[in-house]
Amino acid sequence: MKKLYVILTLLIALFLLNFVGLAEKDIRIGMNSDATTLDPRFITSTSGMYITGQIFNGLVKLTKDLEYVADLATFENTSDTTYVFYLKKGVKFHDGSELRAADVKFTYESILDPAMASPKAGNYKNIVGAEEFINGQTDQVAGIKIIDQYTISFELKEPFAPFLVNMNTGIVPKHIAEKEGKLDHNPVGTGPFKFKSRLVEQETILVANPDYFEGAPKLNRVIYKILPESSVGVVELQTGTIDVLMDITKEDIVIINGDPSLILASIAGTNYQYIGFNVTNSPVDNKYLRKAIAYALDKEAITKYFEGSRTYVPLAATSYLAKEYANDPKINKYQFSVGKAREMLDKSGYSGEEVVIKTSEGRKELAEIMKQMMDAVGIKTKIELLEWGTFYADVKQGRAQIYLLGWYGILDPDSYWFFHSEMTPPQGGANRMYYSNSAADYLIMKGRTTLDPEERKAVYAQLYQVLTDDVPMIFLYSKPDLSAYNKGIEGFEPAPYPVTILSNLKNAYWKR
Amino acid sequence: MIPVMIGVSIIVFSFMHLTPGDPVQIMLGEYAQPAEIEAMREKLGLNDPLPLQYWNFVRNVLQGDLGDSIYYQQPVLTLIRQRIKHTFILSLTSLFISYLIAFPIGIISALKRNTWIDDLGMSFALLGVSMPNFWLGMMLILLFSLKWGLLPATGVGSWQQLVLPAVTLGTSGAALTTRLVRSSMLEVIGHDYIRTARAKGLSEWKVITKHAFRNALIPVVTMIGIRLGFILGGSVITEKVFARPGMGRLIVDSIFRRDYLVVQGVTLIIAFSILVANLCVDLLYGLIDPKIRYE
Repeated sequence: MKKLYVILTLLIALFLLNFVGLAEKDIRIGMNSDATTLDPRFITSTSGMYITGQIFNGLVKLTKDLEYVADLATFENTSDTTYVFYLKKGVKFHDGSELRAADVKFTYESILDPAMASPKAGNYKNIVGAEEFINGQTDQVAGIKIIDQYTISFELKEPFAPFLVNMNTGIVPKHIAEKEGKLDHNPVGTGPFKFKSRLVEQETILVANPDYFEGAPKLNRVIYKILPESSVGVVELQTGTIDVLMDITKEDIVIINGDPSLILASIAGTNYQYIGFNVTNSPVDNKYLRKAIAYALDKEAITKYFEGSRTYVPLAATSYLAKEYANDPKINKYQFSVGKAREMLDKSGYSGEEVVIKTSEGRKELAEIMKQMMDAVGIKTKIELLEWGTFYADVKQGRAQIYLLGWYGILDPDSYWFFHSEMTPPQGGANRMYYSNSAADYLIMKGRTTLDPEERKAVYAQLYQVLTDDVPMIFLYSKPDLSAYNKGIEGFEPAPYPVTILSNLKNAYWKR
Repeated sequence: MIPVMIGVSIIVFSFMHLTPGDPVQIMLGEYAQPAEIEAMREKLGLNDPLPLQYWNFVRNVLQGDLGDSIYYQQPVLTLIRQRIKHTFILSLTSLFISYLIAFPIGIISALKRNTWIDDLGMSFALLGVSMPNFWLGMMLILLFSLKWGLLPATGVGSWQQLVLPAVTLGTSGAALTTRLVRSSMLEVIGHDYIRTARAKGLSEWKVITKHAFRNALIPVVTMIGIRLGFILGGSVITEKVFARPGMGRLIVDSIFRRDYLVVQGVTLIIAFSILVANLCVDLLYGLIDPKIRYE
């Protein structure tokens, strides 16, 4: 009888140890929305990137200091317009097949294929032969050349400084993607984790890839859980139902900081929040009225209130470039001044017309603060609060005077999408201010084709002088990028979006 | 039933297409090029005239195909199939809980009319109606998950995960039903046949359960149909707070994304479910009250 007890006790202990061991090999990550697709060629959402970043690798990757380094390939510029990528040998897809240059060529050509309707296609149109391929004149992109099984080159129509920004898209296996089209149901990549299962808007499970080319991850499984209500996400983190929470609100910070079992990963964000003017709509088509508004707003106080970092140019506040421009006396910072605001108001000939701020729920508070400050200098202000879809459609279609938005993932000063006159809707692009200035257009194009960093910096200094003089936007602040995790996890490093703490997930582990 | 379904489909189709906002723009995001937007619109048939789009929708529905979600790029039926089970389980459980609470409190309040017991019952009803689901859900999570660690806060799959959302939804339903049961009982116990039953010497228990309660049930049962409809489509807040993938959350998210076919598909399924529930309620009348017969 005694022997039986001993055996039973041992068995139970063994079972418990095994259980503890298993639990410590999993990480559960909470996100507030689910990925719409798991195919990296189509991903535009942050949650999609959080998941596919573990399944796929790109040719290059961003470090936490926002520098591009080799991921699947090392690279070199053989000329101002040619990039050659040398694939690492022996990299295997999750099905055991080896990564080859043909997979890279297929990935980028399928993004450009109009039948696939990838939202990323616009990023690669500057590759030689891309337009002809899109128009159906050729069945291959001439500028993407396979040199040998492990070498591939990309030839551009003209020098393009931010080229590498778009070269971290996950590479898909040609032999699978050719058959399946969109890799939604069983995505196969080269990443540290393999796809296991998915329940849309519930959870996605990945398992470790023991053959990962940089070594097997320390974790067994990664489980992504969808928690649409942020306050519940924090509770789940506190109760240990999840181990990492990716989407943190201002209100959550106090709770997380007050809980000794949690760590808040906070880092300067790669975003900037702004006030946009549709410069074609009266009365804000008047440059002096826009300047009056810029002076009337206490942007330092607004930045402090929203716990951001002040930026004076369309760059994330903490990028070294933004810091340099902040000290440039030629760039107008529009320091808060009621006197100057009134002076500009007189100059504008403003006669009391109503100025409308359009916003959605997320930036309602900013609109209210603005209204108070604008009213104080005599600008009659009205807030129009709209549901997001309606608000966004209005802004895109030019039915707005002042609107409140932000840009995220700003990694390069290239401003073509945001300020060039060709990018005004309905042509496409994101110049929702309908801003057009030939001097700005010239500088924008010069900035993206100038490769020398110092020369490029000087070009953007000139561009920002033009932009701050025309005031199509008032640049406000950058929000910090936040996430939180259990103190028991080792290996995470705070990193800004789009890198995030998850970039180091393969090296993360539970402390004993 | 068929005219109602056609009416629902026309109304939802028209309202969704009249709402400003482009689903393709929302799906493709900020950087989408006009050519890509155009290609996607063409692919999804959004460039066709509205009557043709409606006809295509109806034709597909008749063939059992609700179309593909613009946002998820998956068949609407698949999206519904993934969620409908969770929504029905939550709806029926919360209905059960609400009646489990409402019947005893409503009956006792009616019997003890104008006493402190009645006041207590009606105070509960008032409290239940006044507490927003969001707040109640959060409070239950804070107490039962965070503080006491008794029940999981989110997810689906186990009975433990059903308790908090079902109680949240059931409590507000119980409050309304309690008032209904009370007023219905008060009306019935004032009738002559109850006095007759008592005069016959029947026990109070028998008078209440056999004579009064059964007759008081008609308006309460009618309420089941209405409540079920409300819970099926209106449990979005509860589903969001407890991270339950359900029809309510799907329809609201899809409205914001202008995902026309999902909104149309889910609305049709909900409308159909409500019609079936009301049909069942009509049939129940006959069981409760033998005087009611269907010609």
